[in-house]
Formats: sequence, structure tokens, C-alpha cells
Amino acid sequence: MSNAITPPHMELGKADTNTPNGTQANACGRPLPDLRHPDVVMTLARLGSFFPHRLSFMRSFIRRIAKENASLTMPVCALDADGYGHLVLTLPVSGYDYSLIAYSRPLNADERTDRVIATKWDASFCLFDGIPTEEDITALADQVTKQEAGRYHHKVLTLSRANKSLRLFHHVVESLASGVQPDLQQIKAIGYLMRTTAVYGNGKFGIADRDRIAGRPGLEGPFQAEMLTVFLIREFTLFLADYCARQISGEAAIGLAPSYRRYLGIGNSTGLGMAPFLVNHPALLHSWIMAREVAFARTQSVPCINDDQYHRFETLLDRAYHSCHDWQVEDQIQMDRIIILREELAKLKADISARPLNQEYPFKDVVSRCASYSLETQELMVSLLIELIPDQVDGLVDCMANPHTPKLIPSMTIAELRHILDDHYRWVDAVDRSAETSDAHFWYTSEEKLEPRLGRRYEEPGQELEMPFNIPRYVGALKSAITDLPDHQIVAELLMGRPDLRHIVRRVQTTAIYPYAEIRDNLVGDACRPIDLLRCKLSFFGASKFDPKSDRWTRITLYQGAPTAADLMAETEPDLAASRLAELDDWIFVLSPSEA
Amino acid sequence: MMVSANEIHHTIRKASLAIGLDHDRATDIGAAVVWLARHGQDGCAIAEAMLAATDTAPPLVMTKAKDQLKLSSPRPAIEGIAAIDWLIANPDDGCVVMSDVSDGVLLLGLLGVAAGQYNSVFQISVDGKNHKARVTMTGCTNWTILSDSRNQTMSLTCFPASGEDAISNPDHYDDLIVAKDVWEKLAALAYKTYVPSSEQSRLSGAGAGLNDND
Repeated sequence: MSNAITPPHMELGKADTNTPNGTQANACGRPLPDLRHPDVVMTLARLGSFFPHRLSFMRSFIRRIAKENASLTMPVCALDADGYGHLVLTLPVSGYDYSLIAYSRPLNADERTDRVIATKWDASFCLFDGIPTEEDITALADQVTKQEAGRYHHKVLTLSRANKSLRLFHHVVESLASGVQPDLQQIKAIGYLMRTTAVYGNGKFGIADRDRIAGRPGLEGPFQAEMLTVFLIREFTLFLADYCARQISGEAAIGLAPSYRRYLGIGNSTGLGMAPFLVNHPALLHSWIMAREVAFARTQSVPCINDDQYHRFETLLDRAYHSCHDWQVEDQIQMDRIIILREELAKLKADISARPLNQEYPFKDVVSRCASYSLETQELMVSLLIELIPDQVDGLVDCMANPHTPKLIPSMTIAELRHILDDHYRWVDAVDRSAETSDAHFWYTSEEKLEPRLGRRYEEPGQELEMPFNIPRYVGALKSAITDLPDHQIVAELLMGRPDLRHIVRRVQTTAIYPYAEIRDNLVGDACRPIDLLRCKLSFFGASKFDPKSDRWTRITLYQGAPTAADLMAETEPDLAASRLAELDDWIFVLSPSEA
Repeated sequence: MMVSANEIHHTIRKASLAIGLDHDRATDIGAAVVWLARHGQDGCAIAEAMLAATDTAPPLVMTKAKDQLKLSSPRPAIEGIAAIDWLIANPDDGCVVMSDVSDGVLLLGLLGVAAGQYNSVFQISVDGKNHKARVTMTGCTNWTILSDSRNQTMSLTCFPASGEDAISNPDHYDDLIVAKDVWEKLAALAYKTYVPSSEQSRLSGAGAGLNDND
């Protein structure tokens, strides 16, 4: 966890990035602290150990709507006795109304798959810009229930679908219909009533382009429209369970207990589609990682803490410890890591009980005590420590959108390019490119519903159509091409004769401006575990209960422990507003509820 | 039919890959076509025609003398992009002279995107006709200047944008209309970048099962 640096060209997307030499070494107006080196942070193993944190997009979304006292309404409910039909949920965010139109349909068991190749779902959704009319709802019904096969317009901001957790949904409905709360153990074991299997945004299938809404208050941050969608889907699932129970037993049915409602999140199945996003959006990836690293670095420069902060630290550590004991997965690799994490957290707790944290720079002391622990424990501590200095962290959320697309710097000299390769791409030298294991995989898009897949290069057809993720090979070719070129030659002249290198030159130059832009590991090597990329991205969403089902897809839970709409709407005395907001924001390392 | 800018970008990008262009070229052409479409030009039809006609042979030799780069029969997607790069690297005193340019309007699209990215203005002069145009991030002062680019010799210069030229127009997000037949041809090309599915890839490529009734 040491090896800190202050890279020369780090900024968070606020400063002008047009001139690489003119970037400001600042973080939202403040000097940059010493940051962990990208060589340390940007490895698959570490990225694949990230936990959700207070800069995660769900956390910042909830903070916003909590501050705004957002009030959920249901202008339309047209469900039948079995819970099929449609309904609309509307939530105002920063002065704009957004509506989830939910279509609930019967689904045969043999059609229920969480993969992209599915064509039917238990429920289909779109996020509508404004409040839809009956005509809108009717016109969209045929499209939204077909998802990718439909066509949409710019009033539709996102598109999603979900399948019921058969294990839990029916149990909850039957229990409530019988007048009893569902079994806590089942609630804990599953944690959601439905699983989403995709949330599409940014112009897919004709929906609104991201840049149409990116400047709108409330949706400026990354994936805020998607986070809003999932929040409303969670509300839909909670409503649907209560509704179905009432249809069975009428007044005899009871509502799901508030503590259970808050504990239940929304499930999600995520596959390889997430991974290419990180590779294809290097500047954005940098901004996410940079914000988190700055937040973490600020914890390290806290000189001392008061008793309340010390107590808060101990509380969160205790919660993290117990939360890890609730985290059970079938995947043996992940379960082994969880077991080590539990042991290390227990050791850390004991260590701190026996020897309290240093009074000077106590959070540095925490990191020092974890230095020999697993990456899981180290990265969990990053999330935990960030939690302790909200005033120094929350503003960084505004720096996590990055509108800049990578661009070539054609005036750069070959000498400068060599320098960047030396600074940022030494990791490539460790890849033995002569071995088949170095490029055993290739990433591609299948013609079957455009599902992203991973193939074995030397065993399966299709490598000629691979996504351009073989960074070690491209960097190797670039290094060879410039070996004998004069230092003063400019990149534009090199690329006149070698247009094939322009892609990697642009990428390398981008990394010089955005050092956390590149994953510093071989993404096509035999040892690559795509699941690490998924976990990294999902941590920024705020997903918990990471539950890998193979090395390339996982289940997770979104909004578990987050306030529900009812929690947000609860009235509070004005003088308690600040503590209410803090309480609504306090859902990291969620603990299971007690028996309702 | 109505399409989003993102659909245009990715469909053009994939279609460009399908004819053998490199990834960076494909990305830049996708952006250029979006820029054209957002400025009222039929970028998709232009791209479709270009993709149907462009060969992807290695780049032509470009002659450079002092501050001037000369190109004959350049393809915007290949030599055109290289020439823009060179011009960006040599602002103020650099000049590109091109004759017999294929797909002139696409070149305008590439210049428009570059103008936005590099906060620059491009000046186009067509020899013998006293025609001039300026391309900024917000548009082109004469959209027809390169309509006969096959029979023209043009010179291109670049300088930093200032004043109104340096201000983008973020509200320019009208719905984008594309002729259905053009879109279908582009989509068919883009489809060639997808790998045919097999039972093996279906079962192992995504690492997931086929049923989730749990």
C-alpha cells in the first residue's frame, strides 16, 4: 500500500485537458495528495478486490434524493389479480420528473434466463422523461417488452428488464398473504425479489443519447439515469410483492416489514458486457479511480481524530466484519478470499483492541497494520476509511464524469512517446509475448444478440474479429516501430506511414494524461479473470454481495440496505435534518435485519 | 427512420471495421458522421457510399516540402486523417494541398470533429474558384465547397479557435433521421464484425448457464 507518488498530469476532469502539459495537478481545486501509483492500483487482482464506497454512484444518487426530499408517486397502476399488467412510478429529481413504466408479464420457466440471449422476462421497464400519457404507455408496451428488439425515442432514457427470484418472490407473497412475515433466513440468503439482467442507456435502440441529458441537474454524474432506474425497479418489486399478497388474501394480508423492505435490494446478473466498457472508456475509468484514490489519500493525511470519529471507525470495522460473515458464495476462489478476509478483519479488530490506533495519523496506522493482508482486506479498508471523512470526500463525486474522449497528440515527439512508454507501460515487458498463453483469449461480440464473449484464440474461430484489447502486442509493435526513429520526429509523421499504430499511440498518450486510464495487466492472457473487471465496475456502481458464478459472470445486489422511497419520505423535524441525512446515507457494509 | 447519435457512431464504426479500416479510423469516421448528421448533413448516406467505394490499401505516399503537405487522390478515411493530424501538429504555418479528394463531405466531418477536439478552425480554399469555407466545431460556412472534390485542388490550413468559434453548441441534439435502406446497408456491414455463434461459444463464451429458475 506504499509506493505513493504524485504523478505530474493528474486531474479529475474539471480542468482543461486539451493540452497534456497544461493539466492542473489538482483535485477539485485542492492540491493533490500523494496517490498510490497506477502500477499498484491498476492490476486486475486489485481492481478485482474493490468494494462499494461512498463515491459509488448509488450512494451519491441516494444522497441527492434524500437531500431533495424526493417523493415517489404512482400515477398509474393497472395490474390484474396475478400482478400482470403495468404501472408507473414517478420520482422528481432536481426539478425534473422521471417515470419508470413497468410491464409485468407471465413467463414460462423454460424461458427464464438472465443472459442477454433471453427474449422474454418477468418484467420489463423503461425510464421515461417526464410523466407518460396513456398513449405513451400503450405505444411503448409492445416495444419495451421486447427490449433489444424494440425501437425507441428520446423520451425513453433507459431500458431494463428483470426476472423474479423464484426462491424468494413466491415465499414472500405467500407469507404476507398468510399474515406472517417471510422467513428471515431466506431473506438473508437471497437478498432481493427480482434480478435485473441489463440496464441500457446512452442511445441504445434509439433511446436518448447520454449527451442529451448529461448537462441536466441530477443526471450529470456517471450512470445516474441507470441508478435512478434501478432504484425505481426495487420499489416496483417491493410494491408487487405486497400487491400480489393482497390479491390473494385481501385485508388479511400484511405488508412487508420496513426493516425487510430496506434490507431487500435488487439482484443483478452481470456478464462480460461490463468489461469492454472499462477498456473503451479510459478517460472515464481514470476519473473514477482517481476520485477514489484522492479520497483514500486524504484519509492518510488526517493528522488526528476525535473520540466520535474513533468510535465511528470501530463501528464500521465491526459492521464490515459481520457483513463479511453474511457474505456466502458458491464460487470456491471467492469463498476462499472471503474466509481470509474474515480472519484478517478479526485479527485487525483484536490488534486495535490490544493496541489502539496511533494518535497521530491514525488512518495511516490502519493502512500500515493491513500492509501484509490480502488485497480484499486492503481494499475493504479503503472503502471503510473513505467513509470517515465525508466532508473531504463527497465533493469528489462531481469530478467523476469525464466528457473527454481520447485524442491523438500529433505534435508529440518520438522522444516524448518513448518516455511515456517507459513510465506507464513497463508492465508490458513482463508479458512473454512469444508464449501462446500470453494471448490465449480473444474478446468478441457474438452475432447471437450481440452477446460479448471470450474465446480461446487457438481453439475457436473468430479471432480476426476480436476487440482491440491485446495491449501488450500493440505496445510491442509500437516500441519496435520507433526503435530507430530520431527523437525529434513527430508522431504525425510516424503515423503517415504506419496508420495501424494510431490506435495504440492515442491510447498511450491518453495514459500519460490519465494515468489510471489503463488496466496494467494482460486482458487476453490465459491468467486473465474477466470477473475482476466486472467487480471493479460494479464497485463504482455500489453493488454488494459479489457472487461470481464463473470467471466471467456474477450475481450482485444493488441498493441492499439503502433507504426505500418510504424512508426518504418520512417526515423529520427541521433541526434533525442533518442527522436524518447522515442516517439515510449510512448503508455501507449492510447488516441483516433482526426478526420482524 | 429515427436513430440516436450513439447508434450512428457505433454502426458506422463497426461498418468501417468490416471493410478493413483500423480501429482508430473507424472510431473517427463514426464521430465524423455523427457530427455531420447533427449539422443537418446526410452523414450516413455519405458514409455508406464511402464504405462501398473505399479500398483499404496501404496509405499513399505524401510529399512534404517545408510547411506544405501534398496529397493526390487521398481517401479521407486514410490519408485524410493523417493529413489532419499533420496539420494539427503544424498549426499556423502548415498547409495541406489535396487534389482529387474522394468523399469531400466526409472530410468536412473529420475536420469538424478535429475542430472540436483541438479547439481549432480549419480554412479551406479551392483553387481557381475563389471558394473558401471555414470549419469550426459548430459547423461549416459552406457545405457545398467540396461537393465536386474529385475535380478540385484544395488547400487546407488550421489555426486556434477564438471567440464564437471556440464555443460549442451543446443543445444541438435534434432527432437524427436516416433513410431506412441506407441504415439497413450500414447495419448489414456492421453485422460482419460479429462472430457467428456456435454451441460451444453459447455454452462457454459467456461462462453462464441457460436457465435461471432459482
